[in-house]
Order: sequence, then structure tokens, then C-alpha cells
Amino acid sequence: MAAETGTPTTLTLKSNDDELFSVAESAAILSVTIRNMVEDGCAGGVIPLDNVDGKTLASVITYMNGISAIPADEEKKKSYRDKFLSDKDFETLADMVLAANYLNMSCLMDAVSAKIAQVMEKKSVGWVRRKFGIENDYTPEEEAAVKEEHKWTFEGVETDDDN
Amino acid sequence: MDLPIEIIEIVLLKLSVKPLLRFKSVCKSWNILISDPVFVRKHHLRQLQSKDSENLFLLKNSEVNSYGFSLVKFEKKGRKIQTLRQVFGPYLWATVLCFCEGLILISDISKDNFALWNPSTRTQTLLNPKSYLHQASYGLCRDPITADFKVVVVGWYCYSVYSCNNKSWVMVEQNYENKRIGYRLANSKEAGVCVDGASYWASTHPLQIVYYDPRDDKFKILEKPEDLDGGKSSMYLVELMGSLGMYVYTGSDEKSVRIWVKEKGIDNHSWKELVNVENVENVGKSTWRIEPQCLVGDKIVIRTKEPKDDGLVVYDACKKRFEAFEGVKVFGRAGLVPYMESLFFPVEKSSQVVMGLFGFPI
Repeated sequence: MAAETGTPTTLTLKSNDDELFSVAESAAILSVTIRNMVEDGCAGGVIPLDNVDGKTLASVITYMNGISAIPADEEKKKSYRDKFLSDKDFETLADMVLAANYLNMSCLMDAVSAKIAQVMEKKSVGWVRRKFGIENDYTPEEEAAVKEEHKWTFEGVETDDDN
Repeated sequence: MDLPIEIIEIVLLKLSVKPLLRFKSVCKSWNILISDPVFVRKHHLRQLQSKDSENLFLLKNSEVNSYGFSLVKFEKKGRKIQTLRQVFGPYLWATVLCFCEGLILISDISKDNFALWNPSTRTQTLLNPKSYLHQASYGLCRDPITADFKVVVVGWYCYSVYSCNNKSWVMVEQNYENKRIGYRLANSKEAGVCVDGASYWASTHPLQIVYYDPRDDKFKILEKPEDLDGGKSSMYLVELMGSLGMYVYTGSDEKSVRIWVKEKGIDNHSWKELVNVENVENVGKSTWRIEPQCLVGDKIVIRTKEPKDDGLVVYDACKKRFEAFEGVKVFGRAGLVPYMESLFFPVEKSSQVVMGLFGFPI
């Protein structure tokens, strides 16, 4: 272990499309899933992460390194998270929320889900259906009734610009 | 992108009420999730704990009650408020009786009609009270056990508790264990300060804090701070940042105000002194008329209740200085009501609202 030898330990993570990544153990154990593997002694070789693709894992590792380099200052960590997520599109955010859930990283999970909610705040029902891949299972009458009940919530909705 | 429903729930819990109601139209499973009482409760708790609703207030638009409210936010820096939107209640000439965690108990001018109004869903649940409401005091709380809202109507001889279970009101009438409590509270006509699961009243002769505990429907006495000096004749209760606040005027000339905040939890009776506001004569000539409202940063916002100068000031405890808010006027009792996003009682449609002669809802 790093603490005993004084030299930083590096872990190798493998994405589900077989990309390999090196990351400092101290940063990687932000993921409870990885921390458990390390504590169980399964981290000797390569750690396979079957639910995360290479592109998302690269992003998660960037976050792990960035956030663990910041000392215990919640304000600074928050502004790092905001900046980190600011340029991510919806698909990337969705991949990241799945990865954060699988890796059991509560701080990333919180930040990404809040960011997705922020993006959705003024979006139309149609936008949400497309982005979340949801099929409309209402009959036209049912849908009209639900919309009528909450008519005022459709005021000020953005027109969909990204299809 | 197919996200599992557990993750969708985590995301939806972070949305505000307007998009949540809109997204009931996305599909049936989203509608079921968003309407689920468990989801409503989780969303409510998150709003209580998060800072999303911090420093949001409904500000009455005029002296008369017919012009609705402005939803305002106190800005962290400076002495300004930001107006977000206009909000109208279910009645014209409405009176705000009390408020709790985003819900407001409101009555019309006749005081015969009552509603529990949720300004964030724009809905209300009508309440048909039985009797003696003209000579009563009101309390409202969210029962920490059942998570349902209860309205307590404090009459002279007995009190009634209305609980809103399964979308209909159930009334229980009770007699006081200590008969004088009803007399004192109903007579004062002060509304209860409804916060953190109970409703609190300050009463005089003797000077004590009485609260209604929704868990067993009983009135109880809350212990005062140990080092309470001052407050010989009166103490005042107020909601401060989701906790019970209490303040008294101290010193021989009553020129300072000491403010305490009670720790969270109905059964936790410990107090923490928040701030000592000195030189209140600088903002209120009749010094007994100030009221703390909220904290912005490390400063405290205080309402000054002078007859002609009903405004807001910020008190900086380090510099012992007051600074006035620009262009803000606060009208009457309950002129400034804490606002919180909540999905509670989204069931009754607001389509019953009828527009009156002047284009405002009746």
C-alpha cells in the first residue's frame, strides 16, 4: 500500500472497449467500487470496468485527478466541478452519470445529476423524450388531459434547437 | 440514451416544480414517479436540505391584499432583492394566516373560506372549518411521522386539528390539558411560527414558549435559553433559515436585540445565540418593532416596522452597522413569507381560480 512504502501506487483500469488507463491509487479510490477492489486485494493486475467505455473513463479519470489535487476546500471543489461539467453535452453527461453510479462516486453523481437537471429545466417534453429515448405511451386524449392539468408549466419553454 | 429509472429519479429530484409538472407528460412511468407520494416527500426533504430555496421570499405587492405577491431573492452581495416572478393566490383579498415549508394557510375576506395554498404548484386544497375561526390562532406543521400537513386551529376552549390524509381533511377536536393556554394563544391572535415539524407561539403571563406537537396532538412548553437576560415583558418568535428563531429586547433602554436559534428537532430544546443587534434605535424609533428575516452571508436581514418606514435593513454584526435595502417596502402582517419549492398537494386543479373585475384572481 502507498501509505506503507511512501511511493505512490498506480492502478491500471481497463474500459469495456479494452483501453488501458493508469491512475494514482489515491485518486482512483474516490470510486468506492475501485476502493473495495483495492481493499480486497484484487487490484494487483488490471482492474476491469465492464460498464464504462474508454471515452467516458478518460473523462472520469480527468475528474479524479483534478478533484483530488484540490485540498479540502468545498468552494474550490465546487467551482472545479462546475467548470469540468460546463462544456459537456447531454450524451456525455448521461454516460457520466451511469459511470458515476457504477463506480459509486457520490460527489460526481451529485454534480452530474444536478447538471442534467439544470439542462432540462426549460426543455420541452419532446426534447426530453428524444434525449432519454422514451416512447410516448399516452393516447393523444390522455396526453392532452395531462398537459391541460398543468398548462402553465408549458409557458417559457425553450424551442428545441439541438436535434 | 436509456437511463435506468433509479438514475432518472435521482435527476428528477433535483428539478424544480415547474419542469417536474411539465414532464408528467413525457410518459406514463414518469407521471407515476413524479406523482408518487414517496417521490414528493423525497423532493420536499431535498428542498429543505439544499440551498436551492435559500433566501427566497414572497413579498406582498401592496397594502391591500389584492395585488398578489412577488417572488423575490435576497442577493448575497449588496442590499438588493431580485424579483423572479409574480404569484397570485386562490383568493382576492386574501389573508395569510401562517406558513410552513412552502405551504401557506390563507383565508378570504369573509374568513369563512380557507385554503392550504402551494404557490409553487399553483394549487390549493380547500379547508372547510367547523367553527369559531374568527377568534382563533392558527398553526401549521408537517408531521414528522406521517409527513402530512396538519392545520391546528387554536380556539379559546378547545382546539381542532385538521390533517390532510388521502386528499381530504380529517378534523379532531381536543381539549387543552392546561385551559389557560387556549385563552392566551387565541386571544393574542398571533399566528404560530411553523417550522421544523411543530408550531410555536410566544405567550405572556407567564412568559413562555408554547408549541403544538403534531406527533401526539398536544400543546407543550419549550424551554427558554438559560442565559436569557432581558425579555422581561415580551419575546418574539420568527422563522430563521428553517429553524425557530427567538429574540428579546435587552438593556435598560431596550436598545439591543438578542437573537437565538433553536437547534433542529422538536425534542431538541437547546438554543444557540446567533447575534446581538446593537443600536436598534438607529433603524426603529419605536424599537420594539423590528423583525429578523434571514441571513445573507454573515449579515442578518431585518425588517423595520415603523409606521411610515416599513422596509428592510441589513445588519453587519462586526461593524455594528445598518444598511438599508433599496426600494423595498414590506406591507403588513405576513408581508414577507419564506418560499420553498414543494410538490405537496399537487392534486387539486387551480382552474377554479376566477378572474375578478381587475384581472386578479378571486
